[in-house]
Amino acid sequence: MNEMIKVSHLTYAYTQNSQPALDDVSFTISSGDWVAIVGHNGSGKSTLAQALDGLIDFKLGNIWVDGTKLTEQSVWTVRSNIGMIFQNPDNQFVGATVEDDVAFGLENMAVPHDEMQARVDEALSEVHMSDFRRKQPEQLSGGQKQRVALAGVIAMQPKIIILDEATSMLDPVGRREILGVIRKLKKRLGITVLSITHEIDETTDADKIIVLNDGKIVSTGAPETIYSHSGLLLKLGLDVPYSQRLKRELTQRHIKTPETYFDEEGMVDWLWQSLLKK
Amino acid sequence: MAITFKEVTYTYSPGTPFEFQALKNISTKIEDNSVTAVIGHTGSGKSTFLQHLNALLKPTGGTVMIGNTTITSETSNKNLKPLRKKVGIVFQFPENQLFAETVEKDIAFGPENFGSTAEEASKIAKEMITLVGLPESVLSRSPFELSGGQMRRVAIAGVLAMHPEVLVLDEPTAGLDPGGRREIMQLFGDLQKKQKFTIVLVTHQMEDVANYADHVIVMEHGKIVKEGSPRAVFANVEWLHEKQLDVPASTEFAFEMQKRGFQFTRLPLTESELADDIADFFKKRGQTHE
Repeated sequence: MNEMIKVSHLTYAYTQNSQPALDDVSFTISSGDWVAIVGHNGSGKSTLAQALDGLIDFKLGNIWVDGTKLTEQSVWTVRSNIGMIFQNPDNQFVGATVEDDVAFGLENMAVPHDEMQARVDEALSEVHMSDFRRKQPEQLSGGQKQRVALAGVIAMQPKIIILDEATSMLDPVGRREILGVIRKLKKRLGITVLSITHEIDETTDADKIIVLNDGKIVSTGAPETIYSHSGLLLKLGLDVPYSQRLKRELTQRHIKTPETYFDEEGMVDWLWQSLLKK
Repeated sequence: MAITFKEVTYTYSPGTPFEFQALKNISTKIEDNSVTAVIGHTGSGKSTFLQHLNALLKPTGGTVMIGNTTITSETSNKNLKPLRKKVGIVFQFPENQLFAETVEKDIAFGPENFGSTAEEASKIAKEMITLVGLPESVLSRSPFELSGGQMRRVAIAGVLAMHPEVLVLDEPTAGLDPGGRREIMQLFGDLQKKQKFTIVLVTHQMEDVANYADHVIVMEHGKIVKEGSPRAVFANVEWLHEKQLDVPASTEFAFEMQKRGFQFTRLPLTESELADDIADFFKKRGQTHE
């Protein structure tokens, strides 16, 4: 697997005297992987996303996207590989209707009309919004608007999708919709996904989790590994998965629980094995 | 202060092609000095319901009793000012409504509008900023320099500055990180105990409902489809699943255990209740590990 994103010793401060928002950050993301970056508000997560998209001018460190080093000259090439979805569904709807909105990026690239039509159709069907193509933004829920935003990104055929707190303003139904679509896209189109979130529940599908605090990477690993360090997550103002919370409560009641990480299903299974299995 | 809804209906744009009935024959009582949680999907009528709590909207049919004031479709807007002072609403993303140059001016704006002198209002601002857990030094700063969580506290202080008797909270923790969420909910929990507020909370966070609410109202398509204590409402997990509504994680977990043959006398609502139940199971099996 080749490296889709490589970040090397990236350091960035918003003003000269302030504490760096990113402090010597290095990591790689393999092509087709889903990587979740977690941290509390103000940990540097969003700054990192902006750096990857060439939206901030960093002086220290380097970023490579799909083998291209991010520089002032290469920024447009790099950006063409990345689709970004932001937090507020109302701030990224630019078209008068759903299909106009999805076509917006393609129009800017002067894609021929027939091809544009085909790409818009396909993108809308990927996010299950084909029936809504002539609707206006006011007629959509937050989750539906975010799906349209995703369709707009998919139509551009990027190699990477970055979700910057893309579900944080949605209700639970909207959240599940978006995560379901992402899961499918990653599988079907092999898109590399970078999701930035403070919701630990939204990282279970990731291949790798990077924990960020005060601009530094404090931990990197597979979800099971990260979840088993629940003390660290809580200390950083994050949640831990439910099964880990339950384990802590059980430990306080002198019940010995397995050391490896179990998800909820695994925990129920373990309880059944220990208590009911004949 | 109690609020009673009697057969309340509300119709948007009546008599036009856009006519839409958002509330359908709602009857319920919000008890004095209690925490009521309102749950339901986007579009279930929650927001319309909320806006009746301080007569921002007046019922198309039926009556709303807010304390001793009766609101009907006929009520004129003239005499509603004292009522609006008694019921404070913290809207979604309240930090978007901050506007003044300093935090102090922002918090003092409400009291000054309701007749406090500048001096009194500034004193109130000091009290309120402490109440929401921010240092007094914040008062002289611009609200826009603060972090998201701090801005939200300032906006809440602005509502508390009116000394409301009823506090209406529309998804007060949306968009905050887990640490910020815990802090804000603890703040409201403490305030409620100290000041005996009546709180109405709209939320999707079922853990908060389990931890803080005395009473739960479930809304769907403009109707109240269930209400009762959290324990009573969350007891019917399958029914809530059908409605695509969540239940607290501990209740969900116990529900899954039930499917595997575990028997609960009542489904737990919190982690500690569930852990107690599991500890009992271990005890009964004589396998408690020390």
